[in-house]
Amino acid sequence: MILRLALKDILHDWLLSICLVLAIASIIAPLLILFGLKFGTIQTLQSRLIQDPKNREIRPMTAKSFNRDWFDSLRKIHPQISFVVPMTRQISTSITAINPANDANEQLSLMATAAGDPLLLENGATIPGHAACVLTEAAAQALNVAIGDELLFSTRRIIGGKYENGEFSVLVSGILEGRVSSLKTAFVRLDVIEAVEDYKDGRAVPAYGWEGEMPAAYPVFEGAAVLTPGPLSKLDEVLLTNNTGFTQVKMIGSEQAVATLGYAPRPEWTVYLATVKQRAAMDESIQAIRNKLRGKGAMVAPWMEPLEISLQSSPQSPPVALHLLAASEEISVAIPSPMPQRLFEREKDQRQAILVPSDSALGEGDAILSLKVEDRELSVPVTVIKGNAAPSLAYASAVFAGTLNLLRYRNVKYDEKMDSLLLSRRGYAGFRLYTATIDDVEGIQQKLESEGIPVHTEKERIGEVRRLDNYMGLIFWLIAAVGVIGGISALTASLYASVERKRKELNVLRLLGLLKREIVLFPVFQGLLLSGGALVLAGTIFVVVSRVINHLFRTHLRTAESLCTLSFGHFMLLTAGVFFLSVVSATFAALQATRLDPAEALRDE
Amino acid sequence: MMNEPVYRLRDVEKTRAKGGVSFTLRVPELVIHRGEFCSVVGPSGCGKSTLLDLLALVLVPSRASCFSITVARNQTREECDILKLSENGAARIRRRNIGYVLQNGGLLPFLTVRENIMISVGISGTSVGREEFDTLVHFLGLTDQLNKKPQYLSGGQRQRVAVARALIHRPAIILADEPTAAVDYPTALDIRDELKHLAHAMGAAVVMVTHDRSLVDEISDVQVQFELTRKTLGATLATAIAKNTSMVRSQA
Repeated sequence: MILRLALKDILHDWLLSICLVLAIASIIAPLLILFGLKFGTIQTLQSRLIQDPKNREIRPMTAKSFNRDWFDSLRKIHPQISFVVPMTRQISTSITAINPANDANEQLSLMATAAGDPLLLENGATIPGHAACVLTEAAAQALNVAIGDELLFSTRRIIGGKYENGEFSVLVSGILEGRVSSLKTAFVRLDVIEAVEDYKDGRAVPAYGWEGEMPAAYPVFEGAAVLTPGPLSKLDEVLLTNNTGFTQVKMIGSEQAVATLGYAPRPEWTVYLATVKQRAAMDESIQAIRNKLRGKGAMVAPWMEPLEISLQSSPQSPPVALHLLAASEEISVAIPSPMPQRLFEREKDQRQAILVPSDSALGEGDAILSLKVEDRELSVPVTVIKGNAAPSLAYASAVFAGTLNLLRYRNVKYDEKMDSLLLSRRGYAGFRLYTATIDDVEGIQQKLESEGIPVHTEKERIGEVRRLDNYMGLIFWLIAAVGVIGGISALTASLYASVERKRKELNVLRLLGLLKREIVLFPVFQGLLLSGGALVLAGTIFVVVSRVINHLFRTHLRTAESLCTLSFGHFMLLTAGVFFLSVVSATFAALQATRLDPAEALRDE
Repeated sequence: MMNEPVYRLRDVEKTRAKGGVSFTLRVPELVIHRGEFCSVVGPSGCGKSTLLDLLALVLVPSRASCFSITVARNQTREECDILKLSENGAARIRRRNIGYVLQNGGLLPFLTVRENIMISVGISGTSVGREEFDTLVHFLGLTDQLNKKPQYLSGGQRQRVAVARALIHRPAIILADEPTAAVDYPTALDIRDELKHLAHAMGAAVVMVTHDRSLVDEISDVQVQFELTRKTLGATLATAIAKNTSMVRSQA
């Protein structure tokens, strides 16, 4: 009944009710829009500007050599680093780009990029593929190219006083927004820059068909097995470690020989094992031992720590894990069953041979050998032959096994075109690094500088941007606070005033016998009805205005982004707040209005 | 039945102080029976309204040796000590047992005449037959006004609506605060007669406050008058003296 009375009163005074609803809505609507902007994408846009990759960039100021492991550990140790890509020497990044369509040509500098590069991703480009590049706007304009066009990159070197040109074509897969850089730059994958650097350094780059020196991988060993017809004198033993590269020599019995070498020479031979401590031994060390024992009828074979490999006959068959040892043709004669000759002979176009135990699950013939040391991986095609190898052991010629063994110490890659194992590059002259947020820049800078790497950061800019952001935040909250406080007072005041106007009616109802709490319910219901109407109106205004805002700024937004938006939860919170205020102010006003005796209150009129 | 008292007051005092001036109303003895017409007369400021407010249970007496009201409860009638009532208790008694006619009608502007009348029924929780409603409305000449809002009525019509609202739920007591002050004399007489007649028909006691003695002299069963004495500079004492005028009139 009270609710019905309240509603009838509102409808009776419809003009005043509308005024009140409008008043409350005009308090709420601007607040809604203000908060809608705050919680909408303007926040995202703002943080996108603040967290601009340009502000988060860290570059070394001096050229040093950073190897791959250094980059890996850097990423592992500092999770604040969102992206880091190695860079080659500055000199090798300059290239001439030619647009075949209009013969425009331009000197560009190459920059390495990789998956996750924020500079590209946050400026409207995707990470380029193998034969593609992303250009800065300046570069694209100079060459007059658009996305999807083909470009020719040309690099030049002097070999023996003669100029040579290396060329390759790339697809323009993206063009960065102008604000990124005014420089003419092409972003390409790291291996493209490496190829250019290799070429300029006079090395061959098989992938582009560029000729030159080959950085061939070489065999390394951890020791040498020495077989002598009889025990060596102490002096000879000492001589073996003198200036040979080996640090230790000891005689080993036949059982030990089986364990370390994988085979036991005939009993008439005495076996010594010379080993290294830190650095691997190369061919020179083996040769040095041979020289020391010349004329003593000794045989010397390189020895390596068993290398874990896996062999796979075809992609479908299960890989077989084995330990690879180096086999020596020389020593073959000193053991009861000699190694097959195929192990040491390799015709042109033939694959390297691997000897596996005859009871192995592997079939004879082609297989892929793969091995992994730390995070360095290598796969080489080989031919499996079966023979009298000890269980779980495999043999390859000392040169091949030793070259595979190099993977323990540095990166080696298999080049299909050359059919050989090549050295990968050791390190990089620089890098381009981005932290996750601008707040991480200083910490990373300190870390790098403590490692002796002076770096360049946008420290001053970060300071300015941060100050500006703080001020903006402060200003927003000041406006919001004034708005909210003003809103609360205006809402309370309007509802209070509307109850005051109802003082007479409330007291008549009291005289008619309504209880105090029923009397209070009357303005409370009215407050709820009026503020409810105002909420609906304000919500409608907000929806319309936010649509307009989103429409006006749609070109600056990504899909599924909207500049001005509020969640359902925000509306619920607002509704709860407004209703709470309505109830409180109406209750307070009603209690105030019915404080006097009802009859007296009526007579006072 | 007619002799059953509805109000019983003895040595009831109410003191009100405002702006350094105190006013005390004293009621040495007042008993109002069912069906009686009690008029409260006197000039402005003599305590008429204070007395009516005490009877309407909206003012709490400052002091009283006896102040009770007989109310209907569970089909029986029982006497109720007003001094022990809470505010809500008083409101509950008021809604069932008292009909209040205000000086200017006191109608709710947002309700139609019909709704204004029926609100008493709603609040008191009683039920009223359609015939009963029609009879009352017809008697008061309001049949054509039922769907109008009070603002479109004349003063007399408004006052009649107020009478109807005070009577529709058949209360045992009807309190009328200057119900005729705002209308011309002939209309005042009409309204007075209608009130008296209807209340009599229902067996309800009427307490009517008026400054115009001529209006009530001839129909009152009990008349309350006031004697004002100034005790000090700022303190006035009004003593309400009840006279049984029906005896006088019947003798005359």
